[in-house]
Amino acid sequence: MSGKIKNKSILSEPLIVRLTLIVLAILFLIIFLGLPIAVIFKEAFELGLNNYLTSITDAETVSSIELTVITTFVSLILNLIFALAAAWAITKFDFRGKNFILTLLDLPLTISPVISGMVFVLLLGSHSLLGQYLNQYDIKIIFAAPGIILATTFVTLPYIVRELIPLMKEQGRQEEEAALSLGANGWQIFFKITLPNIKWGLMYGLILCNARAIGEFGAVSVVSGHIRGLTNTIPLHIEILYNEYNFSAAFAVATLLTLLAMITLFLKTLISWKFK
Amino acid sequence: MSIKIENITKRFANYRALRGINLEVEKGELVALLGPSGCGKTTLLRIIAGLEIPDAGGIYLFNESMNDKTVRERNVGFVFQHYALFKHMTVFENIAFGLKVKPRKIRPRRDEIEDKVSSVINLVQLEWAAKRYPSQLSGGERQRVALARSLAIEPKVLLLDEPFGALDAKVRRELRRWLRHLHHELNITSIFVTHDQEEALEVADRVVVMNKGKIEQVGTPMEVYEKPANAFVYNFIGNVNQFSSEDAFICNSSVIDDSSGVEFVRPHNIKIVKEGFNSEFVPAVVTHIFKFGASVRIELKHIGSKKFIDAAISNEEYDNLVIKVGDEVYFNIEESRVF
Repeated sequence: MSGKIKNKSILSEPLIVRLTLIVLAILFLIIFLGLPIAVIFKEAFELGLNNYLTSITDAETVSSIELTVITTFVSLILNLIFALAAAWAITKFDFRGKNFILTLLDLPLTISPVISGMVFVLLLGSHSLLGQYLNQYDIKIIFAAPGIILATTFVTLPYIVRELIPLMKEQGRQEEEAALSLGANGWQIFFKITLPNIKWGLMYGLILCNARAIGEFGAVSVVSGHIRGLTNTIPLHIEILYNEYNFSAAFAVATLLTLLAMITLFLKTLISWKFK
Repeated sequence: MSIKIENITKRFANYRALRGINLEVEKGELVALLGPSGCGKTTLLRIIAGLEIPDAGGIYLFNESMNDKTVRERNVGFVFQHYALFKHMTVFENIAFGLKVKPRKIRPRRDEIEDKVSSVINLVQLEWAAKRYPSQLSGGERQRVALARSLAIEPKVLLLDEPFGALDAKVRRELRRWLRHLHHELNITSIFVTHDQEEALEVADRVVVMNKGKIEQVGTPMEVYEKPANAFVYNFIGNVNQFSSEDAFICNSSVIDDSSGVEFVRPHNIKIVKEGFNSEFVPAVVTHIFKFGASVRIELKHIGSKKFIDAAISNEEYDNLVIKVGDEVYFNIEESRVF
């Protein structure tokens, strides 16, 4: 039968078209992804391995890493609690104003991070009413770690909850209702039924949120005040080094972020593969 | 009295789901709530279980008011149309769930739980599937697991929401028979919801026909089929031909006095002959013949008005009649009711 050969030519494009498309895609990837990453590593190691190691073990760098880790961890925990509560409420109950909350959840994605940071400065800075009140009790939020955590949490708020809502909506309430009719209480239903059903989606959301929290620049930059060794996160520290023409140090620290991004990407792929 | 439903009303945002439902179910009865989709039957079932809260009225289980009781306190078994099995648990764990979540004081010991689970798993004949996950089972098997799971907690009443609705016709028929046997064995007061009239008539001791949030008729399957209380029930249960006063061509067979009345005729009450003897016989053309099982269904088209009429005759009559599609015949109405 000659049908096979005919089908093949119907189902695929001519060789020239296929080659052009493939070459275009690969070129694009090299120029926009491959080269920049290569440059980061090249610049970082330009002055040798020793210089690289001193750059990333420098006291200010270490303190920026510490601050980033703490900020990311706290905002992950806050977002986790918030996302579970919000997704649970939105998907398992009917109430007035649900759509309003859903719209509100997207706000941090649509607002520029710089504005997000400014909002907190205006709200809690020393010139605001709330800021003056906090000052009386000597509580510092803006230009201190709490402000950075607040801004990071705000910016990363939608990531987990947006992962959970469609998933939980699709799963519906039936399993929960079944558990209820079998005599389970709220906590039992949550831990034995709901959580196992959403665990992969939750992990996925956590990883996305984590990646975003580590790399957040705009909002954090506004509320941090750039106090060296105190309120600098990794991205802010890189900027300072770069502005001081200390390129190899800036790129050395940047490799840390790049590695973190790659690990995140790997975990994300692993989980989405498991999840699907 | 096992279940007493007193004047239940329920309103959702844009429509009235239930408008004053009263119903009593005897101990050990198997009752079907039958009606078209949107008639409120599932809402009523969920209200009995406590999954939905009525706007007014009361639910009593064994003479005890359930109005202030939560789902957990009511001790009812609920079977969902789409099984609602716990996907991440094996069949065994699914069935044991209701026992494992009991408060520590009244929770059975581990070996007691195992005994109980194996006894209900035997009951639904799924011993071989204990270690499987729901995704590895067929629809019919899943629904049996769901039933076993609800029976494991020894509920006072069993509520089934379209239990066979998601299954194919053959499995549905098997499960129907099986449910009737099971009910006979356990004698647990049960209510099941269905939109399938055949299912309701075949399985239930009593049928509650519902429409637009109200009960139209309550009776044994025989009663609702033979003596429909009103036009809706007549129309909903069994095939029926309807003739209004506009269909003047049949007036001579059974006089419609008041012009708003509708005459209902079952297909098997229509007699077909080849020659019209007198004016009581109406001429029609055979448009379709459907020969299947014990009777032959014949679709006729009245020559004057182009109205279609469904008739059903026995195989024997059909053989004697010798007709084919396109033939001109005469029919007459042997028995009918006007509402």
